[in-house]
Amino acid sequence: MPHLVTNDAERTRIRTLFLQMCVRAESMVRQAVRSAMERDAVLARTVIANDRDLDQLEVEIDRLCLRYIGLQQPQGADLRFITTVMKMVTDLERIGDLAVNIAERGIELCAGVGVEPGPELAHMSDLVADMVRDAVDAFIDRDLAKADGIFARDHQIDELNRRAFARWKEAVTHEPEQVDRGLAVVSMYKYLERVADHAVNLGTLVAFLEDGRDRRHGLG
Amino acid sequence: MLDLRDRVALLVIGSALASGLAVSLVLAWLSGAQGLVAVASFVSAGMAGLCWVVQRQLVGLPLKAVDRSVRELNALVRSGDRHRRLTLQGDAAGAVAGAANRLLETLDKDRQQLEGEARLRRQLLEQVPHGVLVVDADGTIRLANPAFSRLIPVRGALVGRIPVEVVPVPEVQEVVNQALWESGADERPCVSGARDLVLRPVRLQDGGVLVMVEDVTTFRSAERARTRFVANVSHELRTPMASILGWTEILESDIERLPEDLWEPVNAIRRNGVRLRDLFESLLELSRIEARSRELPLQRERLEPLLAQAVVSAADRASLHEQAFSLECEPTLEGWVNVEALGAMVGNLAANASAYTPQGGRIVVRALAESDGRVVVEVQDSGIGIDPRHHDRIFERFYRVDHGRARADGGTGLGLAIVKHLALAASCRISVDSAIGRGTTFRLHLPDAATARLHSVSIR
Repeated sequence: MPHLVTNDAERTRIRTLFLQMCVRAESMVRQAVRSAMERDAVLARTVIANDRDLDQLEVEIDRLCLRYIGLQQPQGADLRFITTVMKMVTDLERIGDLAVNIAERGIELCAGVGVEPGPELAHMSDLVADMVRDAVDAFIDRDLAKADGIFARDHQIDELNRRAFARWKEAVTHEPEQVDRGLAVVSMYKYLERVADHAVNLGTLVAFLEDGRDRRHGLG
Repeated sequence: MLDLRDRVALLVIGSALASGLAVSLVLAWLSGAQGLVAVASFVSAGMAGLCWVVQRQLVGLPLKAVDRSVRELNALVRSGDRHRRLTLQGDAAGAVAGAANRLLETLDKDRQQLEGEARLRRQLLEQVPHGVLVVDADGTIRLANPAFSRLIPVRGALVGRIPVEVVPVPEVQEVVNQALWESGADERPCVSGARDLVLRPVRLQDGGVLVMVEDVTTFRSAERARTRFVANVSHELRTPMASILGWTEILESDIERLPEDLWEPVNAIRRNGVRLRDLFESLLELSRIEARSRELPLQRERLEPLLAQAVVSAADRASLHEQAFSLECEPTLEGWVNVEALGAMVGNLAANASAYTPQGGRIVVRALAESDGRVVVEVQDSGIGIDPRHHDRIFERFYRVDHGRARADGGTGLGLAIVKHLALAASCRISVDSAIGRGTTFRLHLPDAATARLHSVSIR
């Protein structure tokens, strides 16, 4: 009986599920890279299996948001909250997919022997997962400064990705039989770089939620 | 408001006046003399006075003492000083003060005991290596011990927040949700940074949830290292072994060109080489199964053709050793199986049965539906049997019931370990029924439809 449910309870439910999705997506990225670093195929498969939870959360949150709009007809900040959440779940779902891609490359690496990703990958993964974390923290604490702090770091990630690409290109030129493994590692960097882009999207949306200013495409 | 003492006094005086008046009126009526009214009034007043004195002595003074005691007790409570006691003296006040002081002593002792217990509990909570998180029935965190924040890097203060806001491990919120709103929750492995954790949720009587967090990193990484090591080593050993075997086979194919006294050594090299190769293969197989544990897809299949296929080589071996071998299975019987795993398990068990059964013995592979519809696959032999004290351990790697025999028969010591891991990965249960001299029966209990469905969910 929807009319008995207060706005607050509905909103709290949406918010809790949404936070669950945030935390899940972030931990999938960290675990995917860890599985590749430690050659842990079981952990990699766990990440792949977790993606289903993430997809279910996305569907459930979308459903609840649509229902909220239909039944409560939210306005102002309330409406901004609901629509922003609906946009953010798309980014989170994409982050989950990228974590799955990383885990899949990790499983490929587990299956053979040869060059390994190296600590730079773990370093970049920490930076990227922290960006996602900061977007979530900014959302929880309604912290505009924290959301704004995410954008600057994206350049650093792009740079790390470029350097990794150059390094690995050089490496496989000298060891052509390692091309497959090299490509797998390079893809992992690329996936992480894309996760960072989604983290920036999340930050933009959180900032919009706070001050209503649209920062997309360098506008605002 | 009049206090109790004044009210009693008024009552006594009032009744004395009334009775004095009544006595004097009666006297006046009897005598009929006007002059007597004055006397009566005097008597009445006298009696009232007398009564007042009496009530003051009997009731007023003790009540006053009680009143003073209450005042002092109130002052004492207000002061908050636990060591202060009532100091009043005298009959009534002294008695009240004594009783109150005894009560205060008892309270003080109880309170000290409670405080001691609370301190002990707090210390326990702070000292246990496990993380402890308590969530109230409304879903907010009531408390967390230091170990919890040590195992999981939480963000900021926990109390009063919902777990997902402050605990960056999604599984924590999930087990809490399940325990709070669903049918309850089982323990759940999860990862936090570089740590492997196990979460154990417990429902509390007040409707809240307690989550115990155990750090199993050392255990898990040891296991990972072992699996990885075994895989790598087996892989590395296989290559040189293939070369050794290849050369020995070439030598054997041309054995006439070698002096006759070298024939047996060359043969021994090949035999042992084959044994080693089988061992490496088994180890690799085992580590492969472990790596994809619980990931074998199940499907509903007719068992008879599968079993017939699985026992081919064991049946050959049995006829070589002059053992009777038979397969008993209804052609229509179906079960939830992973085809490869079932073949490997039954093949392994049947080969084992043949190896431990003397000439002229009997081996039966049998599939049957139990009364509740579950399907069991049995491998029964009339062999030497296994002492029940070994039953728990025969599925361990390299566990040998009889070390002397093991070397002679050439087995790798990994067969049953492989069977057990395959059984786990295909949601089967395995049991053994055996005694020395009575033969051995291994039973594979196949999953029922519900278990098979759960299995498919867990492997997506």
